[in-house]
Amino acid sequence: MSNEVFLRRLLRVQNLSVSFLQAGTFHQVTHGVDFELMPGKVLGIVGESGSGKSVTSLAIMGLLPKDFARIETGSIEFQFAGRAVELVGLSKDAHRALRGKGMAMIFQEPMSALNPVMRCGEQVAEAIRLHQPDLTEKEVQDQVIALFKEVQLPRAEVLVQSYPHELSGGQRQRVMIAIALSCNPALLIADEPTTALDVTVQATILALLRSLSESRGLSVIFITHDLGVIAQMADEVLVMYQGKQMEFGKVSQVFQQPKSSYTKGLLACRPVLGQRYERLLTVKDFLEASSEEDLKLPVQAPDIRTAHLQVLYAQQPLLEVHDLKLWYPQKEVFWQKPSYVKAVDGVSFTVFPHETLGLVGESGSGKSTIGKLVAGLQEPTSGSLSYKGVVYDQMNGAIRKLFRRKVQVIFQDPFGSLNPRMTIGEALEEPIKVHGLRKSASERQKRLVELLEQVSLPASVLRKYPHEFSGGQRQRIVIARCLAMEPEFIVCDESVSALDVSVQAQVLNLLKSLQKELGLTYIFISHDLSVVKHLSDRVMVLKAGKCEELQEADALYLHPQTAYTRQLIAAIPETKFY
Amino acid sequence: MSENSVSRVFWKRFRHNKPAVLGGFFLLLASLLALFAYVLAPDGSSNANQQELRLIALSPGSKVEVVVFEPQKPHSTSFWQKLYTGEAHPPAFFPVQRLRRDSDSLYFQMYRRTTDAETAWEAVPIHKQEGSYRVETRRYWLGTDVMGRDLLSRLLLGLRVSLSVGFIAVLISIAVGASLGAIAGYYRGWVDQLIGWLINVIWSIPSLLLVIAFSLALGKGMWQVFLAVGLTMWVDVARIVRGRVLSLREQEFVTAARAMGFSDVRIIFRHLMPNVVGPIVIMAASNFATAILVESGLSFLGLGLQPPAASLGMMIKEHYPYIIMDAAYLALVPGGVILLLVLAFNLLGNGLSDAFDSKVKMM
Repeated sequence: MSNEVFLRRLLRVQNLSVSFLQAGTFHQVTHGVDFELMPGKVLGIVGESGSGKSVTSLAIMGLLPKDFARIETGSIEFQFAGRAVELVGLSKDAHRALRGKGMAMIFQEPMSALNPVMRCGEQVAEAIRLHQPDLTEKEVQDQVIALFKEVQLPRAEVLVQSYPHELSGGQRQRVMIAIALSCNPALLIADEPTTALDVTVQATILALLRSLSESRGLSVIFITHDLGVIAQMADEVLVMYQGKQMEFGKVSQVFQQPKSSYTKGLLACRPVLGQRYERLLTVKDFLEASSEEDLKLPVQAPDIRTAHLQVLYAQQPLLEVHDLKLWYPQKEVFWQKPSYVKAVDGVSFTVFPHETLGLVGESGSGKSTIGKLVAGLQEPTSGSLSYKGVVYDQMNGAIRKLFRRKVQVIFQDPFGSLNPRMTIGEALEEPIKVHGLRKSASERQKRLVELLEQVSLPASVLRKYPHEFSGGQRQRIVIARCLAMEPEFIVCDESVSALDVSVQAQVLNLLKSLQKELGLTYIFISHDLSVVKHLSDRVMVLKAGKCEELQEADALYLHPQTAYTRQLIAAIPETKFY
Repeated sequence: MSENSVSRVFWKRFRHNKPAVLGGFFLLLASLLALFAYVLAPDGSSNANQQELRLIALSPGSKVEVVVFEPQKPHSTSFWQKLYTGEAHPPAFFPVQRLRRDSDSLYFQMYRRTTDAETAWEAVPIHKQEGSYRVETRRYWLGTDVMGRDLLSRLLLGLRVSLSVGFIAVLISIAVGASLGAIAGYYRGWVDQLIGWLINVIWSIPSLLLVIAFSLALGKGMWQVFLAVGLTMWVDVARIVRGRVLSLREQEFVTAARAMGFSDVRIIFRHLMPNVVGPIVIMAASNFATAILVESGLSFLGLGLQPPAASLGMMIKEHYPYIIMDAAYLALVPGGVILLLVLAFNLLGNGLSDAFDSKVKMM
């Protein structure tokens, strides 16, 4: 391959605008996107939900829904078989011919993208046969094994015979990559391919994509909401916000000297492992800032923190958990002795008033289960739990009801945790009514407005339904509903994980200020160590239902005691540019 | 109610479905006719059962002059009583061919189908009658049946029976099915297994056979049919509701409700049920149609309503032998009414189901 050909760009997108049909009229969702991609390079597209990043990639793939979407302006030029092809206005059949051979795509959810009743090897073989019909069956099978090895699946010869459900999430994503590579495409579009995976697995998938890009000269468009992933993966980055292109350039350049205030905000709003800030900056701060002074982050001084911790731990503990176990019996056949799935396996800890205890771990570590056990939503197999010195098992009647009110949970999914058939007003009023906290209707109304004020929402939301709100607003509503019970202790179970980074920062700030204002105690559960560390006084690392390490948050990060914690910290794609 | 409330969106979608709206209007009309059947029917007597053997199988649109004898002490039936059971004691009447009267007597010729032979004039001295008489012309819009009863009146009452069987059976099946289904889905475990077992047992028996068994055990009659049809149809509702609740209970808003210390009853009826209304309404529409068919079938077999009560199925049965003769419409008209009712309910059901579906897509 001559140098000149190698330097020719693979993809050039100019002034691309796409509009979607909404309520009878077309609304523009992307406004003039411009970028280009060289062979063998990785382009990261970063943006929040609704920023138009997926729409742009679907336009390139020719997968925009024909009835609802149309390309208004612009061109997409793609190098294929030695000549430039204009993709805008290309016929459906011609576009289909390009997919597979020219470009391929992998998605976020590898379980639903694979056919559950077909062996993994067969699914790859099917793609090969489709695009290379003249191969013999032996050659196809050899190629499948070779691809499985290339995507670093262990025991490739065995795994080709397995079904998708027998593989882990990371392995399934590797199978998806193998299918995408089966036709030797020049461009791979990866739409949030690691979002559903644990951090340590994510790290290995990212490394694989990077190495494939180098070994095959494959160009990758990597779509993500996570700036850390971009920093680790990409050569170039395209930042999008509300359908507009905010920035495009080399990763190092964009991260070190971001030009748009949106990018600056995006870079700043992620909690950083190395520093302890009082609060996080949000994108809004950057968009509205009038001077540099507004953007100074208040850092907590070490001596103030030490004093704060001393006061905390001099108190009587609020919650004491001793040797908590939750085992699920599993019987293959009914006469067998049951084996157990140990969701939580002997965990002990205490939580002090006004403290935040962080629980961190990967999926299956039992962190959410501990949260449910603490809130009394599940009964433990064994172990004891006492709140304010009262043992949970001995609470009855009125005390149990009071415990239910004082200990609250905020869940991950702000879409699922509100009843779709109730207005916000009804949803907020119900707990007040059930627990008899305000007797008259007018008192309750006053309280509702007060609650909404606490989470900075206007009183007009009361008459609306959940589907009329964005994720961040819904999470605020959920927090308000939780506060309606006048709780002391809140278990936040992945409460910010489903939110966009900038919204996440706002909700984290809200949680922090509410803690100060109302003297709340938190257990904060997340898979994201940097978020947990930002909020927590102490952090407990969990692995397979057991406590791996429990330490003061900063100390845990600076001096991790166990190998697993070190591995967890290392796997976090840290943006090293700021 | 807010602009974007779920029900508002639902109605907006539903309105655009022409066949479903048409079905809905037809059913509304049918319900009004059925409700006021005794007031609207030409023959407002109980069960529209004024038989007159001289008037058997009159063709539609026939006009007949009748002499009606008013009793001296008229039975007073209140409007509501009439609406519910019809006129219990209708005045006697007889059809006449020709009338003549002088100062104290009424002379008439008895009604006959053919006018060629002269029949004798009969004289009825008026003073001999206890009450007074009045002469009126009756029009039989749809003719009369084989017992000489007004077909239109019978049809209206049959419609009334069909719709009330459907209504009550659906009410029973939803009350039983939705509660059992929700309980099974919410509590799971042995409760679910027990209810699931019951569902499977009832499911495995052919429903007509089961209804027959019910009718035999409880006796024949309208209320037995209501109960029997309702108690066989709840299984469909229970299965659907159980399935929906099983998936809904895993959603976080249910866990959130538990975390807020709400009671199980509150969670089931206040939080889960409103989310199952869609499938239940769709089920109700199709169950309504099924109930009407089952009732007609039972009445056709002689296991449903008993004469002299009017039911569409029974009307078909009574006139079934006339299908090959020139009075085929006697059986076809009630058949057509059943067909229209079932069709309307199915159109309505499809429309509802589409409207609910699109709501899910939109969210």
